Amino acid sequence: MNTPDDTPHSASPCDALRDLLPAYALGAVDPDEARQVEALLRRCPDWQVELNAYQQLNAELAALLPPVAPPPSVKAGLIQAVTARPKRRRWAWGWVAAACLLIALVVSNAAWAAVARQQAPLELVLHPVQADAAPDATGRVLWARAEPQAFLILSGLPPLAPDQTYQAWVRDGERIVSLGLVQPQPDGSAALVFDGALLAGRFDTVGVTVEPAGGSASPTTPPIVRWQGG
Amino acid sequence: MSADPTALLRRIAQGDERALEALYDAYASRVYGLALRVMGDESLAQEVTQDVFLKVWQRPHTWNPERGQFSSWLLTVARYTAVDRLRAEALRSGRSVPLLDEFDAPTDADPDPAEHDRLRALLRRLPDEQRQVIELAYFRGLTHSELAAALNLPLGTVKTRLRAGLQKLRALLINPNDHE
Repeated sequence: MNTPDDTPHSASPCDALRDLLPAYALGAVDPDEARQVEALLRRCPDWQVELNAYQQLNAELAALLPPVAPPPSVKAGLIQAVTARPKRRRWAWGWVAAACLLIALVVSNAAWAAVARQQAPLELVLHPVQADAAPDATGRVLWARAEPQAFLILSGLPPLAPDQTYQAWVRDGERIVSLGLVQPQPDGSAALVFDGALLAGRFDTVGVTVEPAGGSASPTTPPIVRWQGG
Repeated sequence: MSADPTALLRRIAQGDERALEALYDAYASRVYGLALRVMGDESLAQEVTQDVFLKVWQRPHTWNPERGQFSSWLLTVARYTAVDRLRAEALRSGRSVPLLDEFDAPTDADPDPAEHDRLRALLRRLPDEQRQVIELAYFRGLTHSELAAALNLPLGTVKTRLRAGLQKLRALLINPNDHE
C-alpha cells in the first residue's frame, strides 16, 4: 500500500486515496484512516469525484434491494411524532417554564437566563426504552449553543438501590462519553448540568443507564431513556 | 417516484407535515426494504424507518443536490441509521453484532432471491472472500480492524479484499455483462 511521501520524485501522496476511498465511502475505515483520507482530500481535490462515485455505488447497491412496504403504523407513528411536538426550532415555552423550577435547584439563575435568551437551542427528547422497568422515564437535553453548560432533565426515574447510580452518556458510533452521574429526587426527577462542548461534535445517541455507585467507564446496562438521531 | 424532493424538502423546512407524508409515500418502501435487510427484525426495521424520516424532518437541509440524487442520499442515511441501531442493540443486549451466515439462506420474506433480490445476485458474482467482507461492512457496519478481528484475518488482507470487491462491484454496475 502506498504511504504519503513528501519527496517530489516519489509517487503522489494522493495515490493513497486509491486504496482508501472505496472503504471510506462505505464508512468502513478506522478512525485514523478516516482522518488520513480527510486530510488527503483537502490536498487532492480532484479525488472528490472518485469519492462521489463510490458513495453513489453504495446507494445503487441499496437500490437493488427489493422495496418492502412498511405497515401503516409506521407512517402513523411518524406523523404523530412530528405533530405531537413542535419542530426543534420552536421553543417549547410551556414545558420550559415547568422545568425551570427544577433547574433552579441546580444551576444559577444567570446560567438559565442565558439558555432562555437563545432563539435556537438544541433540544432533544429522551424516550423510555424499557416498558416494564421504567415505563414513565423521560428526559430532555437542552443546550443553548453559545453557552458552556448544557442540561439534562429527567423524570419518572425508578428509585435505585444504594449501590447504584444513574449515568448519562453521549454516543457517536463506537465512541461513548459519560455526561456524568445523576441522582434522582424522591419524586423520580433529576437534573444534570454538563459541558455543552460534549454536544458540539457529531453524536447519534444520548442515553441514561443504571450503573454501580461511582459510575462506569462505559455503559454496563441497557439505557432506560434514550434519544437517537443523526 | 414523481414527487419532486427539492420542492417537498422546501415545504418540510417550513414545517409542512403533508410534504413529509408525500416524501414518505414516495420513498418509505425503499428505506424499509434496506432497514429490514440490515436489522433482520420487522419491529426494529420499522423504528429505523421512522427515525430516517424524522431525521429528514428535523434536518431538511442536510441533502446537498450537487452531491447526488435525493434517493441516494436518503438510502445512505438509512443504511447508517440501521447499522448504528444494530450496533446499539448489540451493545444493549451484550451480544456481538451477528455475522452473516443467514445471507446464504433464502428467507420466507424473499422467496425467490434470484428474481427479486438483484443485490444478492450481484454480490454472488464476487469471489466469496470479497463478498463476505463487503456484506459485513455494508450490512453490519464493520470497519477494517473489526473485520480483521471478526474474521481472524490480517488487517492488510481484509483491506485488500474490501477494496478489490468494491472496485469489482463498481465495474459490474457500469458493465453488468462483464465476466470475470
